[in-house]
Amino acid sequence: MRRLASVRLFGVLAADIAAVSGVGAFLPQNAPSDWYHSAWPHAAGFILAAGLDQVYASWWFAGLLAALALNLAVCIWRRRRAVRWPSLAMHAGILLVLAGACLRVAGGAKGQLPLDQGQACGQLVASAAGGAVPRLPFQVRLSGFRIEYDAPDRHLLQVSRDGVSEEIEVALGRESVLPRFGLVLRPLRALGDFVMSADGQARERSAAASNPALQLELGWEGRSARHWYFDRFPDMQYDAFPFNIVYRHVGRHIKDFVSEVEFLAASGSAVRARVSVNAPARFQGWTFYQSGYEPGREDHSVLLAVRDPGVYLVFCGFAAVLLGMTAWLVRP
Amino acid sequence: MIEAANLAFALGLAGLAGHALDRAGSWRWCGRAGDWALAAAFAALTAALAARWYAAGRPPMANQYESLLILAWCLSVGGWWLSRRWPVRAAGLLGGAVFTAVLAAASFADPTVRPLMPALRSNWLTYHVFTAMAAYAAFALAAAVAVWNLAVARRDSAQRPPDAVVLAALRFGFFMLTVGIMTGAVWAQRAWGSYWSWDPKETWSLITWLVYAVILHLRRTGVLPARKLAWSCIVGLACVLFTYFGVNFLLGGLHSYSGS
Ligand code: HEM
Repeated sequence: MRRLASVRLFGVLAADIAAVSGVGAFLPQNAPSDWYHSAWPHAAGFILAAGLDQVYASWWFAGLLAALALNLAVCIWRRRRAVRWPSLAMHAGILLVLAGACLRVAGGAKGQLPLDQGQACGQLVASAAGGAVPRLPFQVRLSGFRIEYDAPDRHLLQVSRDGVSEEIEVALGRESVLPRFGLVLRPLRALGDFVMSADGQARERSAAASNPALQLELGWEGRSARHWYFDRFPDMQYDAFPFNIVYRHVGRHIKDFVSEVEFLAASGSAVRARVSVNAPARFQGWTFYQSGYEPGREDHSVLLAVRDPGVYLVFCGFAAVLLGMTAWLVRP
Repeated sequence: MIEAANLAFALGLAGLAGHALDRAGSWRWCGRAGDWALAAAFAALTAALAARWYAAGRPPMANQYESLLILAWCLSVGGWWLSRRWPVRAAGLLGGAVFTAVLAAASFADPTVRPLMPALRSNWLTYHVFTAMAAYAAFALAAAVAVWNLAVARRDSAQRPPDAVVLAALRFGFFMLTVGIMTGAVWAQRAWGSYWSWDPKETWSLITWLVYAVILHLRRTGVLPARKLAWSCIVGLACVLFTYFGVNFLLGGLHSYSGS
């Protein structure tokens, strides 16, 4: 008992846990076994047999954490009358965190939920972390998905001819007249990441502004034409056109990804919710996170569904540790 | 913005030089001028951070450059505290040295103000980065004092700071590191649905946390006399440095975007 409660044992366990965690941080985890054979031909057998490819999920790492918990529990119990409450609170708080983590391993589940607009689905698919992928006890329908941007896009054009140039800002659908050049410009379409599809249609490849392009309707000397101008490729000019136009795109940083969903309970009731980055939604013990999207598709979204019965215990543990530590810091 | 940060660096160097002259030639007025220079450096750095905050419309804590400025800011507050608690005139020298070293490191990072990616747009970012930097600053000062103890005060015990100063820095750092890890965990739960993912930065912060926990416990049980405590502070800081820089450059993971 004395040994189990000793601070020396804590030192040994903490050193072991730190060392094993360090191995896990250096050695890539959860890779396919072939990968270890090609990267470390000599050590692969040992790595795989010892479970070093999945350190944090191994039974012996769990054993080390369990030993730490036991060490802490016995230590707290033996000194419960001898020490002040801040010390008890912070040590017990760490036990709560470990207990909450246990509940997550025992009763938690997670999986990805890819959804098309209008479609209702309850079957999760394995997320990268792996593990069991259950069916949800209800269905989720995507009513809409959108990407929000910080500021509207701004489109700047530098028009020049024979050494004279002028810079203007144009807006989609609005006609701009440059009397000096006798030129009329009307932006028709703007794309942040221009790509030409197989059937010759211009379309968006991703939500990022990787290849901004602006389609202009040009009117001059009684003639008219349409042409795409590219921020990244200012040399792509329209030959039959006597002006040089350089397009510059400003803005468009992604602010948020927002999915509007409906939870359809087995009882037939429906609950609307919004899921966005840093703002998950909860329903019947499950929490839904915005997890992915498909570039160029605003009718599709990927949510991450998580059930973690231990998370509140973990956060209560945090609160106890913080409370105890604050008092300890003020009066050591 | 950059100009104010550069000014802070120059003033920090001047302060460091003033304190070095004070020690080398016992020119007390140089030390006093050095104190003024360090105070001015603090003011310039505060102005740089405020300007950045205003320009970006968010607290300046989103990338390596900004976090280094915050770290330097915490170091100047910590250096001031050290000079109050430890009347020997080495606090300005040590604080000034660490302060300018951090600003020098910042000059290698990219200072461009960029909009944040959606996951980083959260108040938790502010709490998380600030507490982590406050912890790192306290640990850096503890290690600076430790180096002083091992190198200079070994010969002249009148130069030695009381152990209580080192312990106070360690305690404060440990508290802040704990808060930093916990705010990170709460935020990760909100953003990614998991308070802990064994991402390399998380793992290394846990290692660092365990190392300091063991140091505090060993000290408490009387196993760490002053000299060993000093070496422990240096080992602890090595873990901090690896968590802060090493992980970004060598290991990647969820936190790696913050280096770009
Ligand atoms: C990761 C786990 C732990 C953390 C974060 C932690 C934290 C702390 C802190 C911050 C202190 C105050 C140190 C000081 O006053 O300088 C402390 C004291 C102490 N800890 Fe721990 N501790 C942990 C695990 C343990 C374990 C496993 C044991 C038992 C073996 C233990 C036994 C003690 C004792 C006996 C004290 C002195 C208590 C007092 O007099 O108030 N700790 N701990």
